[in-house]
Amino acid sequence: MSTSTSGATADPAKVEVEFAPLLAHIGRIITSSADIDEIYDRFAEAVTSVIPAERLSIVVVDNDDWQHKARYYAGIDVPLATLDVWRPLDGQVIESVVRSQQPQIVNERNVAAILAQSPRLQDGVAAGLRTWMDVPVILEQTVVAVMRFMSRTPNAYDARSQAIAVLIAAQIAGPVANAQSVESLLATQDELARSNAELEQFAYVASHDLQEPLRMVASYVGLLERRYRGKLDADADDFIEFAVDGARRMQALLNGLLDLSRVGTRGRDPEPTESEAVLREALINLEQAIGEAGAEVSHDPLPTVLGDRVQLTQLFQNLVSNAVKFNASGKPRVAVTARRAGSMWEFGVADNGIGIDPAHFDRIFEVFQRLHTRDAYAGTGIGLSLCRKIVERHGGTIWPELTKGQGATFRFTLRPVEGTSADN
Amino acid sequence: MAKASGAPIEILLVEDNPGDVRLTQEAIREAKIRNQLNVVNDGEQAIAYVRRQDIYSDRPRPDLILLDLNLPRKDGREVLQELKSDPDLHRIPVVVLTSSAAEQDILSTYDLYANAYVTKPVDLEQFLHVVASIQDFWLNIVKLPPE
Repeated sequence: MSTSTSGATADPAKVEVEFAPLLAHIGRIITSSADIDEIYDRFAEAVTSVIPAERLSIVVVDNDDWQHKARYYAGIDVPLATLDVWRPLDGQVIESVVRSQQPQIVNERNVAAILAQSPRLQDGVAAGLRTWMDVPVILEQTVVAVMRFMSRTPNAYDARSQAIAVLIAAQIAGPVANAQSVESLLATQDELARSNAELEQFAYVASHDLQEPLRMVASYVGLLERRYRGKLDADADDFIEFAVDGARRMQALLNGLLDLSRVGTRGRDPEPTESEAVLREALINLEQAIGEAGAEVSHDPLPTVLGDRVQLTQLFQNLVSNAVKFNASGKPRVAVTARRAGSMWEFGVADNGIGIDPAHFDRIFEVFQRLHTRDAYAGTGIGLSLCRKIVERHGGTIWPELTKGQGATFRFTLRPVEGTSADN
Repeated sequence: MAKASGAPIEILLVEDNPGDVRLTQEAIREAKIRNQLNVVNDGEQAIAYVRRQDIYSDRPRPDLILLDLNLPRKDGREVLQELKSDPDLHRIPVVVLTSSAAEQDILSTYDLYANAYVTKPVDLEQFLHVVASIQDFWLNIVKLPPE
């Protein structure tokens, strides 16, 4: 099929010279906007002025997962089944183009055979698009996309239009591949954000709805305990006690899960917050525990940071509470410090307690993970998970410090108030 | 006591969950306050009761209504709205007693002129305390309007 219309050349070298202005124009179009769809629109207009097509589509190829999706189309409005939907390449007409890396023209000569292979193309044919040309867009020996020209004119495409299309394909290969990797990155981020939000919502609904039946169980075993303790036999007292204790722990766990899910969903926007006032508030909440343990809490002058006051109070409260709780010294001492570390404020909460074996550093932030028996140290295993979630929501990090001597030290970073606008 | 006659205080509990009904009954029993607790299980029954319709024609007018929000057939908000827009009934104090702590529920029920909004405590001791407090406040401390 080397017949060329109107006697014009199909020699690639000559075509390149002839269409140099078009290629330059396409080069300018590519950098003309930040909006990929807008670029494709301008591109389609320029290209179809040279290679007439009732429909021009750009199908992107995912070589890793061997799938494709129509990313863009211009021209007559026949629904495109694969628009923005990834589908397997296997068995598709386009697959042979991706494999051979060669253009393919479908016309009156071979249309019947192609339709037999891919019945979905019937839609296009029904709309009168009986001729088409697939041109691979190749970057570094890989087909990253396929340009598909479709026409109602029988035998519309020939060696010359193919030669032009191949030149255009080479011109757009880099930008198409870049655009695609940006879009897939954004899609992955969206997906991740949505799945996180869903998980939080799930945890919230689950723990919230579980509260109702649990309230019944806890209330009635509580009533049993109140009215019948010591009136049945020793076994019955044991059983009731276990049931009451189980229900109480379950309530603590559910409340912890609720708190955890609320960090993301119920948080307030960060605003300048005096961390010293936040620590004071946390200490007031812990007054009883600190008093009972005879603990001493000291602190540096603490800076104003960017944060959600309620969540930061919870953060300090959990860390100080742990420092006092996991302590066998007889005189628990806790020191809260702050220093500037690069663009962040780095806080430390150090104690003279039992410390943490570095072998467990990975586990301590996992939800429901506990290092000690309930008899030794009570708790739900949610406190540090909550701390990490709060710190991360504030754009910081939290870690346990390897301590040489005794005790444990947690460090975490929070954003300073200055430079806020730059950070946002 | 708000009632000079020495007749028992009449409380109407509108609650569909049998577990909660019994728990409230037990809490009132523990509080040892002399009163009569009447129970209906949905919003329509509640309205029929206070209007003394049908099978409720010989029931006394409640001195206090404890109202759950999520009820079958007619929910607590609708009941509240009907009570508070009826000149014969709008003086009966209504305490919303619900498991919801949602701000939106609190606001919307006060907007409908609920007299108080109480979230059912999860803890039994606190629940007992809350029921005893509600009774003490509304039936001993407060002067209720004369009938």
